[in-house]
Amino acid sequence: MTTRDRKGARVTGFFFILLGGGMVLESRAVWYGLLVMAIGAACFLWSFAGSEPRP
Amino acid sequence: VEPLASATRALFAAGLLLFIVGTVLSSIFRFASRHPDTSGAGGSTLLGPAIRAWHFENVRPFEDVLVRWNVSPTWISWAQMAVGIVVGLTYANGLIFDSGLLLILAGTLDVIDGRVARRTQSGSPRGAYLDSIIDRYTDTVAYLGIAVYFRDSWVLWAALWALVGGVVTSYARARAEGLGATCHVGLLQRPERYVILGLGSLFSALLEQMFGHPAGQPANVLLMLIVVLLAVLSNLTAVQRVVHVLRQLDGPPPATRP
Repeated sequence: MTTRDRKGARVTGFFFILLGGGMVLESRAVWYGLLVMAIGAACFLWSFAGSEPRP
Repeated sequence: VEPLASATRALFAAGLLLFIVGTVLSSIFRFASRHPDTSGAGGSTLLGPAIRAWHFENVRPFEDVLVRWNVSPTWISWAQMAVGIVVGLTYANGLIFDSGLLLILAGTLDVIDGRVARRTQSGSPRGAYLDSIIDRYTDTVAYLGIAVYFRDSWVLWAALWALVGGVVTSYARARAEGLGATCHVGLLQRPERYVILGLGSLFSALLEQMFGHPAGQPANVLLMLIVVLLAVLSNLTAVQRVVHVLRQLDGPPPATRP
């Protein structure tokens, strides 16, 4: 049986958390930044749910 | 929407810094415990095999998807160019943190296109040529954005020298290969430039929000120092390559070499 570790979702989530964080820090688009961070956080946390390391 | 107050921003930046350092270090340690031998991943002076292997491991899921969807490596190169242009615009507009992040993404796309081409055996001289041209654009546009950001300071000249060094470093190799010589030396090649500038921008933006900058200096002191470092190292690399190629060309012509 093939196992999936959801690493792609984790890396994508990490990327979007940082992208949104940058928007919050350095632009006026604070709410958009928080939205992007929330999407990233959802992706990042989902990647840990039920993930199994690849053999 | 009004920007955050400076104290809130400093706290937010500190939290982001902790999150980045914690996530990346735990990922590296988990990877190192699972893969004690990474000597097959290649490497260079600044980016050793372990870091490269860890990076490959993290981009592998995206490679798998691109291979499964039969995406052409040329399209990945075009995506790299689009991200590169956004990097130039974000640097010019002072979004230093997101510029660093997107620069690392552009460098990653540069790695992915070659790996996808190898896996799908779809590499071609046309693709390789286009990839090289797009790499030059991405590189140049990033420095141009930095030059615009530092336009009111002496750092503008360092950014322009870094740009010149990057272009000459690449040209020294391309011209050498056109003349039949080889040129695989260089302290600061493109991946190193992406990593130093990308990570430097991320940390510079966070430190700027947390501690500010000395009076009389432009904002983002760490980025300023990195641009100066890149200006020096890129030009040293260019000279190193030129000397290496000249030594080869001083010898017998390629046709008579053993």
